[in-house]
Amino acid sequence: MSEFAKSIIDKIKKAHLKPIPKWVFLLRRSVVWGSFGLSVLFGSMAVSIILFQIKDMDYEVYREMGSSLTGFVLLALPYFWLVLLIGFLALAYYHLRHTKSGYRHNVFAIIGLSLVVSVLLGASLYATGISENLEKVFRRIPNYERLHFGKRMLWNNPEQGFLAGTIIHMGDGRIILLRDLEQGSWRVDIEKAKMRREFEMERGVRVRLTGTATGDYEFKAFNIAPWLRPMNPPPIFRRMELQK
Amino acid sequence: MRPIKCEKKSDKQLVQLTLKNTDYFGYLVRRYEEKLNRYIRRLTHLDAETIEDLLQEVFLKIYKNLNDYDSDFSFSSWAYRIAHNEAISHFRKNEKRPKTVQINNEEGVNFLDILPDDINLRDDYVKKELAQKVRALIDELPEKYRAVLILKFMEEKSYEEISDILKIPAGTVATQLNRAKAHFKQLAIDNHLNKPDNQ
Repeated sequence: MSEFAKSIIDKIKKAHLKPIPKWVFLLRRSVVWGSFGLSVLFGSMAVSIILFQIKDMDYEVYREMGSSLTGFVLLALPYFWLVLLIGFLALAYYHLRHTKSGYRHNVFAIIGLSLVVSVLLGASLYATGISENLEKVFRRIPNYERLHFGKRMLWNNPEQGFLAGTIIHMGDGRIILLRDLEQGSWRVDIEKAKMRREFEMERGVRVRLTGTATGDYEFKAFNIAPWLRPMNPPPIFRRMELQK
Repeated sequence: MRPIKCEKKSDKQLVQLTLKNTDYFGYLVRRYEEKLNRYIRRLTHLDAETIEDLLQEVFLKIYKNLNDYDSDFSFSSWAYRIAHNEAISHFRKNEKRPKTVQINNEEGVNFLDILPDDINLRDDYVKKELAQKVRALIDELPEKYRAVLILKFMEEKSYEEISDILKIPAGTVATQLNRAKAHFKQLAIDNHLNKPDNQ
C-alpha cells in the first residue's frame, strides 16, 4: 500500500469516519423520485382542468361574437393552467435530471415523457370526473375566477353585447342591478331574456348576459346564464347512464 | 489482507470489502491515486501540495459516500466525478481560474490532432514546442470545454465515461466536444499557432 493510501486509512481510523448509511441515500433518492412523481401528478391535474375548461368554453356565443372558432379558443384558453403545466413539466425535468441516471437522458426525451404521462393521467382524471371536482375545489379559492383572463375579457364587452357581473339587486323581476367585472353598476332589463341554463337567479349570483347596451350603464339582456356552468356528472358516468 | 488477491479484485468487490473492513479501501486508493492526481492537475494546475490536500478530500468523500455507489455504473467514472466536482468547487471557492504552475510539455501532444490542418507537425521539435503552447491554450478555454477535452484527449475516456463523469447526456458530450474543438482551433488561429515561426 502506498504512503498516501496509508495516510488516508489512518485519517479515516483516527477520525472514526464511517460510510454514510445506505438508508440516507435511499431516502434522498425517494425524495427526488417522489418529487418527480408529484410534479407529474400536479401536471396531470393541470391537464385535466385544461380539458375541463376547454370543454366548458362558451361555444354557443362565439358566432355571436363574430369570431372564428380558432380565435375564440385562443382567447378563452385557460392560460393560467397552461403556465402551471409548463411549470410542473420543468419541475419534473429538474427532479428526473437529479435521479441517479437522469443525466443520461435527453432534455426533450424527459420533458416529452413527462408530458405524455401528464396528458394520459390528466385525460383519465377528466374522464372519471375528478377534474370537475378539482375545479369545484378551486372555485372556492377567493379570486380564482380572476384567473380566467380570456373569459373575463370576453364578457367584459357590453358594447359588443357581452356583459357579466354579480347581481346586487333583483328588483321587480324585470329590472335587475348588476355590478360588472370592473365594479361598474348596470341597470339590466331582463324582461324578455331567456335563461340559457336552469339556475337560481338571486342577489350575489354571478351571471353572464348577451344583449345590447341601451344607454349609459343600461343593458337589455336577451340571454342569461350563470357565470360558471353547473357541474355535470363525470363524462364516464354520463356515458354509462346513456347506455342504460 | 492478502495484497496479491486484492490486486485481482474488481473495484466493485473492493467496495463491498471496504464496507466490511476499512483497510481494503487502501487498495482502491492505490488503484486511483495516480489517475485522480493526474486528472486534478490537468484540470486545475494547482501546486502539488494543494493537489494532495484536494486528493485526500476526494478519497475521504469517496469513502463516506461508498453506500451511494451504484454497481451498475463504473467505479472509475464515479470516482472521477467526485474528483472533478471537488476540483471545480475548490477553485470556485477560491474564486480563481486554474493557474498554469507546472506544464508538462508532453501533455499537449494529444491535442495536436485537433489543431488547424495547415500546421506542419512532421518535426518532433516543433511538436514539443507546440504541445507546450497548446497546453497553455487549453487553460484559456471555458471550464466545460476544458474538462471535456482533457477527459477525451488526455484521460482517453469514452463518450459514455465522460457522460457519467460530467453527468451530461452522451449526445451533449459529443456536442460539447465539437464546440470545444472549434473553440480551441479558433484560439490556436488567434494565437498564430499556424504561422511559420511556430513550425
